[in-house]
Amino acid sequence: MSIFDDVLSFIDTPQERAFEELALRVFRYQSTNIPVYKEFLASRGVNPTAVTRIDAIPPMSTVAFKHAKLESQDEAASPGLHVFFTSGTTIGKAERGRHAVVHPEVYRASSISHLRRMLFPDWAKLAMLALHPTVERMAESSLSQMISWCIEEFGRGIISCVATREEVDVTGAITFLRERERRNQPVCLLATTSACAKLFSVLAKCDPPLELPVGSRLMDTGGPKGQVEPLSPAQVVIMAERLLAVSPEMVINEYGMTEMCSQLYDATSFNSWRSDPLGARVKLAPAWLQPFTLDPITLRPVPEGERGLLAFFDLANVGSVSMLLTEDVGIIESGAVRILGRSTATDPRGCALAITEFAARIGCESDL
Amino acid sequence: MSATVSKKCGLEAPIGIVLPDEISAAARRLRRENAKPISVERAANALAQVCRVIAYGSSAIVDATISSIASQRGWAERLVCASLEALCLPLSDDAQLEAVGGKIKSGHEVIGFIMPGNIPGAGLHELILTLLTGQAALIKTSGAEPFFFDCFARLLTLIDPELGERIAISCWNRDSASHFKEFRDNCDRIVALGNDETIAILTEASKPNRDFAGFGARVSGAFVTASAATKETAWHLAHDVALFEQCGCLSPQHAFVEESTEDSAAAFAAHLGDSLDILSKGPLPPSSTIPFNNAVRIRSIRERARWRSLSDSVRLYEGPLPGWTVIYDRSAGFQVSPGFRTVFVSPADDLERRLAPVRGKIEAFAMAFDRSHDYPKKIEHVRSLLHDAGATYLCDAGSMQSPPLDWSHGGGAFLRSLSEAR
Repeated sequence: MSIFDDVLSFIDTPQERAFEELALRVFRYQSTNIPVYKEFLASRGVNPTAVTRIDAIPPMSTVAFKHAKLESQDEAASPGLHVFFTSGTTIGKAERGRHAVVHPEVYRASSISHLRRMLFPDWAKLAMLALHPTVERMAESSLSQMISWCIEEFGRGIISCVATREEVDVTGAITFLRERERRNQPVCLLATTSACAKLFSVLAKCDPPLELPVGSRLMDTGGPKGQVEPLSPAQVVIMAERLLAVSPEMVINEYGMTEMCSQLYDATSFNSWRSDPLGARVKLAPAWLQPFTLDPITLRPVPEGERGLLAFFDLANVGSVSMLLTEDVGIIESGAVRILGRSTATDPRGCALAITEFAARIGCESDL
Repeated sequence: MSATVSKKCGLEAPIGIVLPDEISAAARRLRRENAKPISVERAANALAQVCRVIAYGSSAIVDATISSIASQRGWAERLVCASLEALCLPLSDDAQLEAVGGKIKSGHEVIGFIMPGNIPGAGLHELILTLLTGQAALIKTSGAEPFFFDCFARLLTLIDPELGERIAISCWNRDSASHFKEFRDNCDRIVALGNDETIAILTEASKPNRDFAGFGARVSGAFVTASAATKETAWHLAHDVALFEQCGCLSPQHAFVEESTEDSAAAFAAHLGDSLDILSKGPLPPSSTIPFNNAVRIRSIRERARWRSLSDSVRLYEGPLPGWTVIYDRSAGFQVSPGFRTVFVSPADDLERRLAPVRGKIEAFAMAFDRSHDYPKKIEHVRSLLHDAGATYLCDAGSMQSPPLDWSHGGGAFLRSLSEAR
């Protein structure tokens, strides 16, 4: 069995005690087969064969995907290889991250397994409304791919995608939802937070308000990207209840990225034993994804409950690099992740120009 | 001035006023003291002496202050000493202080100061100008930096008790409306140093009946000609970077280097890194801690530069954190640094475009050039460009943290307002 088969097998039947051993094998595989990664490790003075603990693996910044090819060389000719690109909406230059997924079936298995647990724990199959393009319309988007897989696996009956890469057809979305309401058909909405904001702004003027049937649910992702006035995750939940009659526990925010084949989702009473207040929700990772919070200076793990830079070891990234350092800040509590967002850069008070002020002046996030 | 140790601000620091009604009592005392004439010459002598004592660290009060500042910030005491020396030395010449003070009309106002917390000593120039011109200062120190001005006031009281009675120190929660109301109502004008958000809030709160001078967010940089792009210049500039842990508005964040060859700005970046490395391992050790958000930004900057260097005209020079970071970026416009010895270097071509992101927000620029090789017209052109972009202090590399008393800090509004004092 190849390392990819081993990872697939773990995703199918996770065994906690086997995670670290498999993770270290994946790490050594990657250190041998990805030249840029091998050089990175050498520059860090790391001998992969001497690494015996997962937290000793130096994390590689997700920024690397913008500047280097990070796919496994022995699988680079894999017929199923699919290259995804980041959206590049928040950075001034058109630098887009590139993630070549050499075996998309691993990505699919990871996505579907965790979606089943977090968005479809009731094993429902539903009408689906996508407010983000599906993969036929946007092949380079990993979110589009995930949405398409979700529709294939959990969709039943009427399926609609009202988004192209240029725009979201909010009128079409409302027409679709009205019909589901009339027919008492629960529906699953799959959207970016930005698309939700557009939908909500029109729904707010609708009379009578929409009331989707019980069992309807919403998955949103992306956060404030692309929004002039960003909706917070809590606002999405509130608006979904008010304007769609979707119960709060059925509004599930997703944390994911093009550079990582696994995702995390909000823990609610629908999919877990947790019922945190809005604005204080945590996210759950699948068994094949280990989150870390790291001290930004030392890149060593900080104790649970302390904030740090979020890093992940993702077994599903077996064909690229698994140990990833993000630019997000979070806290880990009992294995769940509380995402605090990007650094607010609230610099010490004083008369030196703060980075946030600088970024606001030039109208975008500073490239460095 | 009372000087009881108090924990009311959550600090083990000697502070004076903490209750709102103490503010009005202090202001009344200051007005009584203000009525007694003190000549500019006498004030200059005393103030210069205080600055000499701080610069040379020749007092137990100064030693204790340096120790407190270092302990609270995680800075090395050597760094605090060197930083305060750089700040105070240019203010330690009696004759110079007297010359500046003599050009400004004297007054009898009580001027309220809201001092920032980013570095010790920010606002010192304005305080000295106030006392030189016969006025009194009611100072609110920051909870993040309660030590320096208390030290200054104590030393002044020892050296010239009557002049010392013209300073009152207070420390209170910046969000306390009752404290601020007393402060505002008892001062003839208010001077505040802080970020733009703080200044905007205070500007509104000071209306309608108080003159307000705000020193908001500013950045500083350096310009280096090709003939001056040497290890010596890098050494001097590294000192400018390291002092105050690059947390003040005079700390250079981006150096623009004229190129004689395609790689000469990058070579200067390497020299700057070498100099910062020597300083960090030797006379100016780095902080033992970096505030979390600054650390996150530094990490982000490093990682982006690290990977951009594969395919772009970017180079990263770095020491182990907490330490120093130099990023050479061929195409960058002015980049604001998160501080803590994180500095950018770029070529100086098209300087006006490169400075556009911070136009109007520039405080100081070091100018390094070779008088025997660089044409005066070129230097004058760059000076003019920097002045147009808002720079108030142009100096040699190595002098950025040492502006003179008559420096037009923040554009000079406070200096001008003193000149028009009633």
